[in-house]
Amino acid sequence: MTKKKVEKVLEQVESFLECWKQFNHYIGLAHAKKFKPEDEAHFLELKSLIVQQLEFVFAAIESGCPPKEDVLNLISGAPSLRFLSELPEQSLRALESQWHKIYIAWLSVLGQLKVHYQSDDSKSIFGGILKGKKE
Amino acid sequence: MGIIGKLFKRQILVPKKLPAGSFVISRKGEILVSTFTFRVAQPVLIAIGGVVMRAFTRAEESGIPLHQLEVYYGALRVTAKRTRVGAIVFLTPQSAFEKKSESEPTTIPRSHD
Amino acid sequence: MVKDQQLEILLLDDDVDLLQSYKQLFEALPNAPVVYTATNGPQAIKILEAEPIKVFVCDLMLPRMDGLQVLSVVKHRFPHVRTVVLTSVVDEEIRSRVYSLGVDLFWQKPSNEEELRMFLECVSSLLDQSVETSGFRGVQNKSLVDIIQLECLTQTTGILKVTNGPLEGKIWFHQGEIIDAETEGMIGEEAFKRIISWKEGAFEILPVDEARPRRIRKTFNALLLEAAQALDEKNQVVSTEVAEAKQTARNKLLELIGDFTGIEFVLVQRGNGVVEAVGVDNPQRFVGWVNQVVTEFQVLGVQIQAGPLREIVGVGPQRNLGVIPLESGAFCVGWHFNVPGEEVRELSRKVFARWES
Repeated sequence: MTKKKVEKVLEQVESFLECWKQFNHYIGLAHAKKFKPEDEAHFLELKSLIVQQLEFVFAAIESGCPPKEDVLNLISGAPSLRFLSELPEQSLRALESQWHKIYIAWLSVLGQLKVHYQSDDSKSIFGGILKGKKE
Repeated sequence: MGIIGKLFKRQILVPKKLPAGSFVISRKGEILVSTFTFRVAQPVLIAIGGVVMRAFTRAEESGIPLHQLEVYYGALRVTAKRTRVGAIVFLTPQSAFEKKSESEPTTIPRSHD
Repeated sequence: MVKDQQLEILLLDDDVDLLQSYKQLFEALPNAPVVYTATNGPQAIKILEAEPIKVFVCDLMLPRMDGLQVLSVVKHRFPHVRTVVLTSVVDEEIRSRVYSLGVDLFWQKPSNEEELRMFLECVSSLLDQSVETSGFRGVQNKSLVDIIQLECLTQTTGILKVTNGPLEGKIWFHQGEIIDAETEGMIGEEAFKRIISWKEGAFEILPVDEARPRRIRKTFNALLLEAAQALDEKNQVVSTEVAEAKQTARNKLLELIGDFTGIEFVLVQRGNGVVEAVGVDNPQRFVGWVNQVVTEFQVLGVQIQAGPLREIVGVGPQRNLGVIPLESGAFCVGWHFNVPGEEVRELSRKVFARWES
């Protein structure tokens, strides 16, 4: 797997994580009930970006990723900011907790990728993470 | 009815709409992902993303770091959130007849005595 | 404008036959204007640069530079020119976008003589109207004083609502007498004096919804006289010396900082390079950024036909910024970081409107 390809995948995972962090920002807005119609539109757009990026990442990374369903289930459980704002406190906390769990898991993937990128040995033990021609 | 006749022909035209959606742009100016249809040209998104990234970069270099930019045109609003990899950019067409959202200001002008 | 100067219209359409037909019709109008024609955007802009065009009539579907792009450029570079869109496009979104650009009239290409007659009357009316860009727009451009006088003469009972950008004011009438006013947290005579100082805006007449207590007892003429005297005194101070004028400008900015909670600084960057700033030690670092973003976003706006650039809001960990482009230069307000980002736009517009008035 070339360094350039790893770079590309790294970029996508980092971008996914940044969008994932924004997701939590919107949960916060819903919790505080301080959102406007444009926030609702942006939230929907953000979910679209996250789902697309997830597909890209899964296409590039063979193994070691947290289950795709975790992310998709969480997103499905957040249809709108208005819906989130009307959830009981406990449900919202559970959602935040799940969000955090997924965030940590993906940070770990990012860490593994960075190690792979920095490693000179293309046949490193982490070489099996990425999809591509086996050397 | 020479002149008048020439004036009264109608054409069927397809109006060009402003793009509505979002995209992620990297620090290098590449579009990483977007929600736009194929009809929206990549160069348009790259142009918008480029101006946004330069605004963020210049702000940081000038000692006035910003994590969000909102640009209001007559017919479009551009919202950009800075991230570690670049920026997330949202494009929202505006209508002249849209009601402004009523936000309650926490600061008020001081009254004059 | 010189009285005997001929009125000039510019027509832009890529259909040459249509162009010639409309040219003949416009030349036959009672005000007998001189009519120029162009078949593409760049050609039209060259004519606007060379001639004192009063009214610009433009199609939307054009080669090279489409109608919306041309209109964006014209509104930006020639704000005094009245603009009319004449198009076959039948779409609410397009019409809304056109009006967002600040176009005066959107007209679907006439399909019969009656529609044509009405269209020609509208264009003729635009030709007759004053070239001034300021003034109050209701049915026609009038000064606020004229409008209030009219309400007094016609013994109106109602509310005159005046809007100046983000600022809003109301004046209550009862049988032609002014009984109260309200704006920006002020009521009574103070509010009336503030409203009357606005140079431009829009107005509408509203019905009275509930009995309003009388807070203004003076007649309209007495109020006007006081306002005129206050204006004269202000003008005398300003006209004394250039240094005093600069001090007044600085005082005006200082006043703004005093009047709005949360302002860190105010900066005005003029097209000739002059910068007026209060509340900031090193304005140049902001000036550079403001110049760049305003220029680049304005160019982008023309490229993507998004309409005129109205405001830019920056939200940061140290401070928030509200930038409003001027015809030449920019107006920038720095806000403390604890002023909510979503309020910066509206607040900056209020500061700007106060500074402009």
